[in-house]
Amino acid sequence: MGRPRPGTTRLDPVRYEIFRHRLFHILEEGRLAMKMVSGSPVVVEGGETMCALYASDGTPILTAAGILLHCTGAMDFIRKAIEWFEEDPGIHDGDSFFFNDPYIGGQHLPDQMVVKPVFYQGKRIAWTGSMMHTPETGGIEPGGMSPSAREIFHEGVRIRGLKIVEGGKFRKDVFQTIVQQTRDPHLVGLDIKARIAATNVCARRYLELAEKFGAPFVAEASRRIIEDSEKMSRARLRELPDGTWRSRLYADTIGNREQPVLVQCTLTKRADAITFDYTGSSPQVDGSVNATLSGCWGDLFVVLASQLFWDVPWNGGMFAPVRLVAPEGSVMNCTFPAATGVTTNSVGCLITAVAHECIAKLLYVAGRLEDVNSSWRGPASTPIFGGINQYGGPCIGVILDAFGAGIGATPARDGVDTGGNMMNPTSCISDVEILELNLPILYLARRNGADTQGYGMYCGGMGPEMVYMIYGTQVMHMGLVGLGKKTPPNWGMFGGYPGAPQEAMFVRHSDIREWFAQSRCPRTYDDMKQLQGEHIYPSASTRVSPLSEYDVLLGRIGAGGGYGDPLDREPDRVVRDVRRHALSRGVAEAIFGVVLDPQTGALDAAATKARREALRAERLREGRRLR
Amino acid sequence: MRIHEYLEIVEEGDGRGQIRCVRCGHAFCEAGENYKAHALYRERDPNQVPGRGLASGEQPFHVFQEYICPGCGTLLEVDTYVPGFEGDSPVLWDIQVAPKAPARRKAGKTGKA
Repeated sequence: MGRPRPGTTRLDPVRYEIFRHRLFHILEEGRLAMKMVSGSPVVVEGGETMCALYASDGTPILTAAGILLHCTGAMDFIRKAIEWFEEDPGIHDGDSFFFNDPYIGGQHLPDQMVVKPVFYQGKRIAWTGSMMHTPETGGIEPGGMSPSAREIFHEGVRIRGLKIVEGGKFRKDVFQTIVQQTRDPHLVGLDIKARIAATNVCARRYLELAEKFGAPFVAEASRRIIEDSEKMSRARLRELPDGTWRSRLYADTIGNREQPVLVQCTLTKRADAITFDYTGSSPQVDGSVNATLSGCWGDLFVVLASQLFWDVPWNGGMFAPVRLVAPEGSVMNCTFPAATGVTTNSVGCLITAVAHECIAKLLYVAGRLEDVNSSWRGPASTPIFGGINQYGGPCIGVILDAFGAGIGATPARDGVDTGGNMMNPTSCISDVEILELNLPILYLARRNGADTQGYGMYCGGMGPEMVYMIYGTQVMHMGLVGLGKKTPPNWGMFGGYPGAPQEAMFVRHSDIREWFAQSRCPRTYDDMKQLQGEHIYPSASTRVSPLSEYDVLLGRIGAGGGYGDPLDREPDRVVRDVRRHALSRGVAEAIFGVVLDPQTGALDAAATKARREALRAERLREGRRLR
Repeated sequence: MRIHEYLEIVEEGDGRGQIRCVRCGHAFCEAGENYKAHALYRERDPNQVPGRGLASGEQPFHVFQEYICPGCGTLLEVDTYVPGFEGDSPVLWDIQVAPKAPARRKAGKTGKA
């Protein structure tokens, strides 16, 4: 170790590592406190929580998150609190501020945050913040994400800083003002108290560290954590080749109607810096899928933290070498008062997905093959509910099966079936029993969807398909938020195909009770088509509409993208896929060129060889030269 | 230098790089060009690709663009394309490695090549 810089403290490396690890576990304890207080399935099951510590100016020191989207948004809330409230009404020991304006931080109004200044010996030494997605905001549709919204005023309560705690005293007047604007004051209220609890835990523990190590050590070690992250990020970038990579995907709705929306990214890597340029993407739309600049940073963070800088501590230093170009007025940097409610299930996911494709191809050229994977499922088409539950009380809810989507294939193996969600690495798929307890629905099937995987030499993980019915209520409204029906939700890599479309189907006024009387149960699209009733194929994002008891719904969550030419897949793997009902025989033959014996299901090696040769010849015959 | 599961940049005698198929050796173009413009191109309606159509029978917005090696028929890339966006080139230039990139580090299994 050299001489410390003037005004800084020499850090003992062992004590520094102890401090750094302790800090992370303090934040994890904060997340646990949120889960213990909140009753929301999005938090308790979905794990959509974030706790972070910030320097006194708002620079992130360290973040612990269930949902990566939230990691960047909170620092802007703190900076605005300092800018707006330092003088009047003042920022004092024992205060906590509530924010949820996506034009400052976060993705959309459900991303709500409490930030708390931490004072030691009369001086503000840090901030702590906690964020989680709350399931209701009082918008024009239940569920906090209104597909029909055309401006943010349609989406519910928007707060740009209120003291929810003042001088250590909980502000009941402020609390009531917020929660009573929503359809479920109880659940929303618990979420607010959960955030306050988390910041209290983190602040108390941080002060214990200040007592133990001394304030100068804590300040210097916090600065060092940020500095180390920047060094690690720049070192990673120096290992990678320079160049430019491009990707594009399309949303298929703007929230309230079907319309293609272009999201494209140009990654340029030079020396120890990297730029993500979204120029050329669609202008902002008259719907609810827009991303704010804060949201765009959050979406980009998802792929940086999970794919490129996965071993770098998450804080402001990680971002130092990263430049984001998001043209103002575009769908990834919309201007007020554009609506943003559905962005997390739509354009936001595409911002992540196109950056991911660029990074995956960059990592391939660098030879970091163990870090390369094809597209994860991308965004889902997620159901949102609101109405009267089976007990006669109000209910709202989101089904989080999307957290179990398919993961992309890699250069060496298949993706994981129903494996996870890039934006939320600690999330769990919805617990069916809990869902049926809280919502008036009954699951009839949930399984990996055959033929959904991105085809390739290595296949993407299959996505889940669910069939459920409305049960125990006559008052239920439901909509969908997302995309992926009329354009693929993700991409394949180097000859691999993207996953299957995320197409939902409803059968209203069904004859399901007659099926039950015959011990039958619908499980697939074909089954759904045989149900009597009104058949509806909704858009991937659909406004909320009324449903009746015994209406049956099928949903499909996206699969992972494939890797490599499907004709290079080992025939035995294809046979196994068919045997485990992951693949139909038709797809095995048409896409993979693998022929099975019609009686035994065994591989017909000679026919497979001939079929593959025929498919390659067909490509050469049908392909045309572009120049 | 390997830039793709099936493509590499090979230095020619005059020092210029050329993009070639690692499987059949087909030469696509100079290293500074978009290989896709020199590949065979096939456009597919998603409803004609098993498992990628819609159960409703509706027509998706996009087509699949398949880029194929003219030498061996290997499928090199499958892109999604929705026509009609101003300034959006139909043929996406996805890989544009700068000259003099560092040597590739060996790591992990490369799969079938």
